[in-house]
Amino acid sequence: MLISLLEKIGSYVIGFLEFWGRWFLLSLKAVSLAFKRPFRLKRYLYYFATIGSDSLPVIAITSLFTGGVIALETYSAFHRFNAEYMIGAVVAISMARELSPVLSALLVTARSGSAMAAEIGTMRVTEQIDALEMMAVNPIKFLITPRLYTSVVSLVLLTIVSDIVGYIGGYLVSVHLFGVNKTLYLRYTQNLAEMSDVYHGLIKAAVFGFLIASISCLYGYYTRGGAKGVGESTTKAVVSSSIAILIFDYLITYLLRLFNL
Amino acid sequence: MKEKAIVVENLKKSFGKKEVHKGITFTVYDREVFVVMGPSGTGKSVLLKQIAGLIKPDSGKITVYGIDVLNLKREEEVERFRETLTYVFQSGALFDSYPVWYNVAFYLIEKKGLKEKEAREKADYYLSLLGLSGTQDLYPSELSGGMRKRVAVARALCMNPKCILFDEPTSGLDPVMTAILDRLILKLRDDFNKTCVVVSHDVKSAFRIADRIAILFDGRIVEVGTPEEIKRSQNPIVKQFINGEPEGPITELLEQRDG
Repeated sequence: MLISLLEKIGSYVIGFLEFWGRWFLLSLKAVSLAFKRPFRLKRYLYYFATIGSDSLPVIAITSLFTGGVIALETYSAFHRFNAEYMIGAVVAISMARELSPVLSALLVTARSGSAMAAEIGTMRVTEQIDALEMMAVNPIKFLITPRLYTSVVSLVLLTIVSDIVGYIGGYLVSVHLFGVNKTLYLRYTQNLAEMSDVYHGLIKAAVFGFLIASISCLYGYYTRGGAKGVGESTTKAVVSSSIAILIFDYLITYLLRLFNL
Repeated sequence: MKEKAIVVENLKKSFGKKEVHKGITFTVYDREVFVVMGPSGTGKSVLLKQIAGLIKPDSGKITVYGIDVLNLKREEEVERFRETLTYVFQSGALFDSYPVWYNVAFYLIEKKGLKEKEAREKADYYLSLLGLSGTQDLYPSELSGGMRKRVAVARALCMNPKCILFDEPTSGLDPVMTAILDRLILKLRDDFNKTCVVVSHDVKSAFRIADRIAILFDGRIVEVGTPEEIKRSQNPIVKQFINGEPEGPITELLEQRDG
């Protein structure tokens, strides 16, 4: 009984360490291989379009409503103190520091992380990755490196868009729905929110972009066993990336606070 | 004496507790069609993948035209090996996100840095050679199984290797397409001077193309010889396999294993 329990714990620990070990090695290779010829910038542009621009509408709509709902929720509380014009700052700060990076990351995970795992996984089980190796093309450089870099850049840019659209959402609800004074609303945002709030969120976004691409590609790359295997890796990729995003969100916030960011 | 193309010495490989290869030794000579046959699940594909350097054996030695496959260190060595030997996968393993012509020209564009127009002309040439003109702009999913395998052969030819490994080239094909692929393999040997190693369990097709046949069973090569020698073999395993009999040593071993 006790031994089987210990065995269970042991195998979980080994599995956990094995995963992060593989993750580290694969990420290291993918990052460093970018500096080796040939560069193939066209592939970066392609992924920039699929991971970045194609996610724009989804992220814009989500952010608009998220910004709106923050205003909606906080209005009644601020109304009691006649401080409705402070809503702008609340929306701006909470979007910039927390909601924009996390929401964008989760949406990109659902859209692109799953696609990465499924596509690379299918290539693995249909021997296309072996075929790449037979042609002396490094599969990590060919498949993972461009996804990793574009995912980091895309997520940073998407977060900026999300910040702006989210603020617009809050503005529309506060000013047009509740009739908050427009000038005061903008002025208080200016006074209370700082650029450091935005940078804080962008650092998070960059880390999340890296996590999404590296974890999803890792699951795809080590897929085994046919269509069922591809399905499993896709599920695991989305679940692990999402959990990693939320855990790292806390860790990064904690770390950045130590540096007063 | 012909030049030795592939030398495999005492190759051993296990997956977990399952011993797939228990010491395999054979030699393939330059410009011959060497067919490896054996019942399903005896590790024929694993053997090919080890020769191609895609799977590392536990022990043993593999030499391909003087290149020590298991000790490829520098990148130039790997590239030289890839240009010496290539692999035609069972299902073709074509890149399904690219059209046929790009699949064939892939190596020239990605590795040799050829301009797309020039590479396409080369791809067109190899495709027409294999009777695939007009399929250039189709995607792999639009092709039939036999066509996909021939595109895979065209892709292999584009690398201009000395030696091509075929994993079950005729599985899942009708008798006519099987005959066409058999003829193609002979053409590769006679007109293009290629060495071909073919893994198959299609006895009829094997006798048609092989210069020599090796029978793989239970992790060992039980017999190597010309098709005539294999036909005359007194080894009960070989006899059961080529005559396709339901009872014999192969079945006995399978039953033993299943307990």
